[in-house]
Amino acid sequence: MLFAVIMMNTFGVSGNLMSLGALDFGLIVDGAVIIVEAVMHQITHNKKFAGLTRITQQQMDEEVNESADRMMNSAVFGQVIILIVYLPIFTLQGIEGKMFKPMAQTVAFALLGAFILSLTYIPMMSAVFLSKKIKTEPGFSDRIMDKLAKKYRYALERVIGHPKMILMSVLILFGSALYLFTTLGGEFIPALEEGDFAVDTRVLTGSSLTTTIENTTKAAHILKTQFPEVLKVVTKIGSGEVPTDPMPMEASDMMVILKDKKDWTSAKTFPELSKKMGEALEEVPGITAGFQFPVQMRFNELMTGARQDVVCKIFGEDLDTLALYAKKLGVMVNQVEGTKNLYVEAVSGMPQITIHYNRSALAQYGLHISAINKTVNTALAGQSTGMVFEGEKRFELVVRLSGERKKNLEDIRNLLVAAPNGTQIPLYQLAEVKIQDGPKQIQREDAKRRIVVGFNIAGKDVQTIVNELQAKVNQNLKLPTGYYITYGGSFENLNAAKQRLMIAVPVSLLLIFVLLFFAFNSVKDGLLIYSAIPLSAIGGIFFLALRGMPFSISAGIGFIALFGVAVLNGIVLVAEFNRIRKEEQKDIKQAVLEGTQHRLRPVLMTAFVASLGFFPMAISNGAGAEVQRPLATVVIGGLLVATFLTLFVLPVLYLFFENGFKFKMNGKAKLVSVLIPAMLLLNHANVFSQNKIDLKTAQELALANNQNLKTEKLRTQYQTAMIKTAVVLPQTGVQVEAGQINSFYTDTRFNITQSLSLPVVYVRQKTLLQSELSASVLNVAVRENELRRNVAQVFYLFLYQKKKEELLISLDSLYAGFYQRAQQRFEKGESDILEKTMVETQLADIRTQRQQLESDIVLSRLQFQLLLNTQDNLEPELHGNLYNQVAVPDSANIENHPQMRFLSQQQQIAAANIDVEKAKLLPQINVGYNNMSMRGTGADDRTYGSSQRFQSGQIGVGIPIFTGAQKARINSARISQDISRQSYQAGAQMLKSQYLSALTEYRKFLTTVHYYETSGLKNAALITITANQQLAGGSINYLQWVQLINHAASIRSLYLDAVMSLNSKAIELNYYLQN
Amino acid sequence: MLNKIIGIAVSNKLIIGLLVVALICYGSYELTRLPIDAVPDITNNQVQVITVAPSFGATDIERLVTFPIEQANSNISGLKEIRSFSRFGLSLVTIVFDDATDIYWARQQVSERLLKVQTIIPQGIGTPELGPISTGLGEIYQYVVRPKEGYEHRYNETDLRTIQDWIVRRQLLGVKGVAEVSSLGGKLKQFSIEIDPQKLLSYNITINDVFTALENNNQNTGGAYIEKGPTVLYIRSEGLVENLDDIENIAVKSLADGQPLFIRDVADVKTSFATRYGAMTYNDKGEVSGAVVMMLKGANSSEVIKNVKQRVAQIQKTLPEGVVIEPFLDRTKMVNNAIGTVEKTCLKGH
Repeated sequence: MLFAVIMMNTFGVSGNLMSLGALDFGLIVDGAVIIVEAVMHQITHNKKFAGLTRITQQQMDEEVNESADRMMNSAVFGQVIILIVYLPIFTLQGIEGKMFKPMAQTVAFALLGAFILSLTYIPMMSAVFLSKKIKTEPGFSDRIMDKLAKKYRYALERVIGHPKMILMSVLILFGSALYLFTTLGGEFIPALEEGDFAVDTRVLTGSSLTTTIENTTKAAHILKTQFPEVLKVVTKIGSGEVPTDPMPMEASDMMVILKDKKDWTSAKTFPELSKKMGEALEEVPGITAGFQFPVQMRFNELMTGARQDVVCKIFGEDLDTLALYAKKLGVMVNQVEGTKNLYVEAVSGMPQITIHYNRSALAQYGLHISAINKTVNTALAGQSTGMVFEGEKRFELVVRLSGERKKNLEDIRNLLVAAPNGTQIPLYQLAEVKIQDGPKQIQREDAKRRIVVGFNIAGKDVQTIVNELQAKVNQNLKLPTGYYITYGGSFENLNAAKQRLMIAVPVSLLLIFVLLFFAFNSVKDGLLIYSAIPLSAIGGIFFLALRGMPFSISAGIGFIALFGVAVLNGIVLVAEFNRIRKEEQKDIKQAVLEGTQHRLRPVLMTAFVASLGFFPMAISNGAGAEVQRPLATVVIGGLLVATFLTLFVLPVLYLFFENGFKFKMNGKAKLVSVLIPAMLLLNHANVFSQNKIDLKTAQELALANNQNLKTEKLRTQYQTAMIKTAVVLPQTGVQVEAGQINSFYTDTRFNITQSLSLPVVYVRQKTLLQSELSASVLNVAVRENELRRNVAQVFYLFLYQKKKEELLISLDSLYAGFYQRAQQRFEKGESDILEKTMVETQLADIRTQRQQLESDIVLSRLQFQLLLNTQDNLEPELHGNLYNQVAVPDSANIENHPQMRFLSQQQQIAAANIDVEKAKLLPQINVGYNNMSMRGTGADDRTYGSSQRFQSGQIGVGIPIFTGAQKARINSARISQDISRQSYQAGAQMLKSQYLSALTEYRKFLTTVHYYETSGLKNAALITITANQQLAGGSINYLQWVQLINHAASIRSLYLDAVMSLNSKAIELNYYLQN
Repeated sequence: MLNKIIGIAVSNKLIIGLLVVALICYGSYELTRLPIDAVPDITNNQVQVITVAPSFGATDIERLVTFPIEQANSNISGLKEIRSFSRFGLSLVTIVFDDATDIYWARQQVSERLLKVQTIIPQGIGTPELGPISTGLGEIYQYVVRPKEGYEHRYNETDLRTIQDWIVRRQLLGVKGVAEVSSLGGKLKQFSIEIDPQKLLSYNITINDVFTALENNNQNTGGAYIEKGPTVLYIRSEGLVENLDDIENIAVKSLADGQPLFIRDVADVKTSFATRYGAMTYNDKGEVSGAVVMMLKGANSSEVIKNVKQRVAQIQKTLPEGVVIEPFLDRTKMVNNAIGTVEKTCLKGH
């Protein structure tokens, strides 16, 4: 800022509305924003500092350096582009140049300053003052951004899905914006409210000074007494001593000095006040009053030699002819809608006394015309003969005829002229003295006479009116040869400026493109970023139309500034896309999605900072705001729409540009590349099968992988997402109408309607959805609990089967050995066939059992894999005891069981549902807004143009009258509440009885297991040992031995069975006791 | 290169900080000096040539004054257009130059040509003069000189105009940045000798005799000095008329009987006012005098207005009792409004 001021002084640019008004802090801080953002991002996301909570100054310096370097290109580039965008303004000449060049200069200086500072000061400051703590907890803004980013990503993903639709709708939007643009009128510079009025007041041509004084005094009296806003009225009549402003005596400038706008009572705005005043002044007969602002009036006059907004000049030779055509033109002007304060220059019609000398009479008396002239001059005007000094003051000494003698024509006729012979001859004998109309004033331009027909504009834009008038004149007014009409005034400047901008804007756009090309080295990317320009124009045009503003140079400048920022955003995005693609080798879609996520913040920041900077300008009402308002409106509208569109359309376009046909192939390639490693992985897994796993890991694995559980979890997510549906606003109705709505003229109308329910409806719906969500969460808990139980069951079943297998294997080997011995003994004849056959059957029996067990094991393994949702051949492995005792509480709190909580939640859902259904009986509210033009003559006899907008609002209530169906629905909801209550009770009962039976069984099996452990197993071991000893000692025979061993084995087997049952019950108990 | 600059900036924090502080100081100083105005000055480069010819009609003015001036100036380099305006008693030629032309150079060119034109314009019509070096934004301060309430009858329009011309205007012209103070309204005081033609006839003299008598009897002269001892005495005659009596007592000629014929015998001598082409009124209270202060092209309006206001306050003290200078149009109001708007929007935007 200050830098800009220095430069302004150096280059002699004065501070004023235009130059200072254009300074948008948003644009200036853009560069700094980008850099600081980058530094912060770098610090928070850099993996180097993952573990640290504070970094040193040294590190900070490095970081700042690095990230500033990285972003500098974008920042510099953006600033250069904004500078280039302002270039066309420098090419403006004449008035428009003088108006807007200072602005462009100031902006350029400020940007230059910002540029230098963002290179030096900003990095320095961020190195010193940015918090060096590394934020791990996301702050408030981070959270908002995260949310936004999430939403945005979701929306973007959907948008990318329909590229064609998006492009089509954008094209349609652009087309309608273009159409709208052609309907907007043109205007040079909106008038600046100066705070006071200059009223161009005229009385009849040829009126005396006294008449003028009298009339203007009357007018001043009216203004002073009828309008409390008027502070004072000073009237300047005729011309001053230095007639830089040569007004005739019948013309006067009434300076109406007004109080501050806030103290006004008669009117709110300047146009309104001027209208009222003009009406009041109609009381004074014979005066016309045109309301303008003092400086505006002077400008108009100095620039074109006339005081009106539009000045038609007829050039020609003969004054009378000129006057005739001027009159005709005046009539035509009056026929054109929207003109006011018509002024036809009165060149003739000024009554004059002419003295026409009779040369023969002069000769008779020997008089010279010069002598008579001197007499006439002295007698009537008075002639100076020297000075009289009064101290320092000097006054003229004038000789003239005494006052009472020159009141009428007769006095002049009787004026005596001294003849050389000493006689005095009355003038009438020498000349014809008569009253005649003569030319009053002659204006010339470029050495030709001209006459001026001027008028001001009200309620319509200059361009349209002039076009209309021109058409009319060409049709109806045939000028003689050598005569021609030119049209001047403020619209001349608009045309000149338009022509210049027509050349300059494309040139600067081309420059931008060249720069873009250099930056990205790709025509494609350049074009892509270019798409931001029409996108932003859409918003600008719509907003202008919405606020009913015509296209002025101010608005044009606004568009220029807008393009700059829009392009900047495009650059930020596309650069990021390209970087991600290059560095991280991701496919395009991924790159786009990620890039938008990364850069969402800076894009939003630059756009919003810039538009917020202009916001007060757009809504301000103060003096000078007229000039800034269109500019600011365009920038804000354009940026809002452009940001939105860039964020969605640009990615789509990017995909479109980069892929086109390639996209599909890429997809296939990706699939293949994913498949191959996956298959490799599968093989790999098969080779190293049978990983050991303990119960806890298994359960965790199951919780993470189980398909059913995943479904339930997704359902929770679904419910979470559904909560957002609580506030359902029906579609906003937007209608644009054009046509003969009100009259013969084509009018446009915008209409926006929105219906919404009472807040309580939304609150209840939200409650319902939330309780459904908690039900779903509870359901997940139920499923988890079940899953844990099932995993445990299968786990222990598997273990049991393994143990059993071990037992069987040991028996198998025992019997196999025994079978060999039995066979030997049989062959030796030591035993009979019975023994051998018995052992044989025993062995076969065991083998069958083993086979059965093995297939059982396969089954449980499959089940296990299913539960854990894994391909791996996992092997349950026991740590600790084969079984665990369960701490059984005195009374089980069944109500807290997930199952019960789920059921009870169902009740709540039912209750909430009733509320929602009841709320649907509440009335709905409709709100609407209309904005339309009403061209033609309104009820107040004023003519309105297309730029005058009329607005209306609407609000309504929708009342449900036919409620039968809804009431039935409420009733059914009540019944379903009863159902849920009932099923809760039933569930509670069942759960309790299941729990109790499980508990009883558990206790039973516990005692069994205890028995086996305390005596059964020992006995079995004793039996086995004793049987082996006795067999070896020969005190028992083989048959007995087999019986004994079988007995022992069956004890072991029973023990295992009991443990198995115990475990199963314990698991169930745990399940029931799970809270 | 940019990277290096950043590197230097980050490592030399103190120096950058100091530079920034220096920048802020210098910038704040410059900010106070920044010329402030409401809108940019869009007036083109123009030189006005004004010729006042009080008693000639529009056609004559065009033919005799305007046309020669237009012709003479039609070939200056950098010329864009010439506009002219001829009316009863006034010729106004506006010569517009392109923006690159130096205004002082242009004025120089125009005045050189005007010297030549002067020989073409018949004597006695009027002398072309250049208008003030000011612009459309130049009318920065306008005021009325009016009697206070209760003093209305003590000062008439002529008194007010005299006060304006000889007290207020003269002092304001000396303010830096003021190009012109153009008086308006009131009545320009003159001493007028109103001749009764009947009396002239009866004494058999012509108006020309009266002129001759007046011209011959209203002058001072000097007689260098004489040496008187060690000192010198300067000599001067005092023949200027000083009041109405002096004028009345001028002899026109000696009558046949040797009696002198005085002006008072053929004419009424009184103070009156010049033919008026303009006036100024204040509210509905009647006529006053006043002026428009015009600023030099390119001056800083806020500064000039400040100076003008100071000077007006000074002048106010020296005015006769009951007369006040009251500004009615003051550019500061508009500037403050507009700049206020800008400031507000800027700050809000920030």
